[in-house]
Amino acid sequence: MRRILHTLPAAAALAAGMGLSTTSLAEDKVVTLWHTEPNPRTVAVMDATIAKYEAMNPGIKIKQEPIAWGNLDTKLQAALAAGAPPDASHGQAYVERSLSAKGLLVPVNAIYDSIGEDDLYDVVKRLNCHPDGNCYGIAHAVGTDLIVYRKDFYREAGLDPEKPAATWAEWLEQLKALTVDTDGDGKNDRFGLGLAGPGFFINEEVYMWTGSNGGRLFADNHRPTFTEAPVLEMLAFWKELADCCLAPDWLSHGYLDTFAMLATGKVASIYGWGRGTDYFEKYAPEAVDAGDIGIFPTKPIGPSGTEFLTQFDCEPWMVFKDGKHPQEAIDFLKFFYQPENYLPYIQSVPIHFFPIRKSMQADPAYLATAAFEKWGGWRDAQLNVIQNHDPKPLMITEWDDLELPFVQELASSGILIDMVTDVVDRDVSPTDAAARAQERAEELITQLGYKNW
Amino acid sequence: MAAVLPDQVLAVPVRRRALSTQPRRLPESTWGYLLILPAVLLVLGLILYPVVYSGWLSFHNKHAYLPIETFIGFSNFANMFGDGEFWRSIELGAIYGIGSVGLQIVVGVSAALLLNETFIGRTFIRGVALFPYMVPTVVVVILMKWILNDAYGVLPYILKTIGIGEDILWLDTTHVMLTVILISTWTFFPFVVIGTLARLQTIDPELYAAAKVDGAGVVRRFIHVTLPQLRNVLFVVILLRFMFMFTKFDVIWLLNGSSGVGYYTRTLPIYTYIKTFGQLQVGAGAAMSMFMFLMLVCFAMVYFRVFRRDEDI
Repeated sequence: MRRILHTLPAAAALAAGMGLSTTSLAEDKVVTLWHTEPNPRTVAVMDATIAKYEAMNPGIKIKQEPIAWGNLDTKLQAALAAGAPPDASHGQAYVERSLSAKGLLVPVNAIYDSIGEDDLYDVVKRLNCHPDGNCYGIAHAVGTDLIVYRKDFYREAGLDPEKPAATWAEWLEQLKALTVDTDGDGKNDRFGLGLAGPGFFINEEVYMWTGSNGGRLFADNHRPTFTEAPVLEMLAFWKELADCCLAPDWLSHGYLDTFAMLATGKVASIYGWGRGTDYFEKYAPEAVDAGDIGIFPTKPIGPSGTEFLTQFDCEPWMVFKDGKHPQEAIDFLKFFYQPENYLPYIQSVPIHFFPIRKSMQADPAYLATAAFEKWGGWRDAQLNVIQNHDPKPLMITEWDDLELPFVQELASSGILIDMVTDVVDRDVSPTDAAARAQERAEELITQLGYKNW
Repeated sequence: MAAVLPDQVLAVPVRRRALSTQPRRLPESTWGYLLILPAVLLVLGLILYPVVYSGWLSFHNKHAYLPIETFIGFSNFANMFGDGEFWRSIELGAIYGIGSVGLQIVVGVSAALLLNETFIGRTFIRGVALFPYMVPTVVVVILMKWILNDAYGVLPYILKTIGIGEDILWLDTTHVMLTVILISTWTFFPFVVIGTLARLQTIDPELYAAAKVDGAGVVRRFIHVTLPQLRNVLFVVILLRFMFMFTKFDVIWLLNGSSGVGYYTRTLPIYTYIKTFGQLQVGAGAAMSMFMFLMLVCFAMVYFRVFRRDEDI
């Protein structure tokens, strides 16, 4: 017993020492970062960067918390409502505009200065720098949404796998041909297109298809335009698409499910991002080796449109005024964008992430990224869209819409999603569904105090 | 100096010393109040204050994180009562609550009856039966999503292999309410088992013996002996479970979210969350939560009035 009593203090001291070595001291400043890159490679790269930064800055601990995209908006809003935001977080461009308009963000011009404005693409500055000269966010990387498809299925259907559909009508014909019964039981088991069903992703299609149909979501006086012809045509197109070429339970399919379905042959094409390369290499290695995973460099245009609109992935880092250590967060982000830290981050998802630093595009180390050998075409297709087709951030059909302070609330309200599911799943006419959505959106904007018409 | 003082003067400090050695006794009632004070403070702070604050918010136009706060009287309630989505959420909540509680009672009582029998491995099986209740909800939902997924889930695969129900899409808009009810039943039926089994073990075996002598079979013994003995337990269990399920958020949210397929399971707690943290209208959300609170109080009162028999409870 006495021996046990003697060893207890030593054990306690050892445990305390171990605790100190792995956790932060009470007096450490703990900087919390939320980001939307939960994949293990990116998390590991961030861990390495954090370790370097902490070694150089004793007394500061950086805590990263990866969060799925679809959950970020509501989690962030709940955290803000509770008065406990993180120090810095990724977010959509409209979220940055909404929060900065409400005075909840601190300018991050110091990060721009540390990179050097000449080394940044104009579009990066356009996204988050305001007319008053303050920048309230900075994209962690950029990328674009494109149609990813199986060339082997296109060939099986007698379609030219290198020829993207130019119009919605052409696209529908393609998708109908791609929707087939593969096992001969009389039921279709491969569908032309796979879409993700959670609301966040329905919002994506709503604004991209409306924009590709020459439409917009808001008028100059900020009033929603859901009852205008381009939106109604978009809804009618969606209904036709769902009836012919989407899996019957597509609304229950998650974003990653669509990658799995393309890899396993349940669908012939999806809307996808460059991060899908890992999925295909793992679950469809034969198709990858045969070069059967294709990327169309353009998207089809609706009957009222002249140019397609696709999503510009450009989530900015935002730093919160009510965070515990906003200045330390800015300091870490300056460190994050230094080339020796930023390059491994970009290379952790190399086909999805385009660096925001121009100089990196010519960096031999970046150009030597191994994934470019196999997936260079995907990267080039995105580059083409960024340079020639004016992609826009989520929910933004016109660049001026970035200034609207209520887009965040509208995006999270479910109103647009209900409008789509009313038509697609409940057989409500596009006119009636749009009218209902218009009424609800106007009511919401009025209640929020942003009515301007 | 002290030695020259008269005796009566010297006596004063002595008396004081004597008094100070005896602790002054507080009245018993004061002790009582002091001892219950922590509990009262906890109740006030953790239960009453949020309810009162929620009630106060419900009369205001309050943004979730902006300092916008305007008294608007009953406008939030008027908007709420005129909102078709609100009434729909109550309807869906009632379907979910009644459906899942009904199944939990059937499955839970059946399982308790089985576990009350004597058989080899009974203790182990009792432990296993409680397992679903111990698994974190998030784990249950993620597992169920994998199991039920039509593209790679094991259940659709098995059903297709054996040729039964191969066309059922468990997570589509037609079946998602049924699915969430079944998942909730699986997760929460052990709560019913615990209560029922505890009561079953205290039923006097002589009651069964007497019923047998009177010629009652298994079914009649269950109806005329077991059920009456379980009545009090089931009364409480049904009340609690319905209130728990009507306000259930996590299972539904994790499985479906609030939109898309989630439209078909957008119960009142989900809709309240969307109002509060999606549309950032805290006042409107508070009005909904106050309504939910009052509705459940009314439900409990009616339930007691209809089913309670004073001599039993």
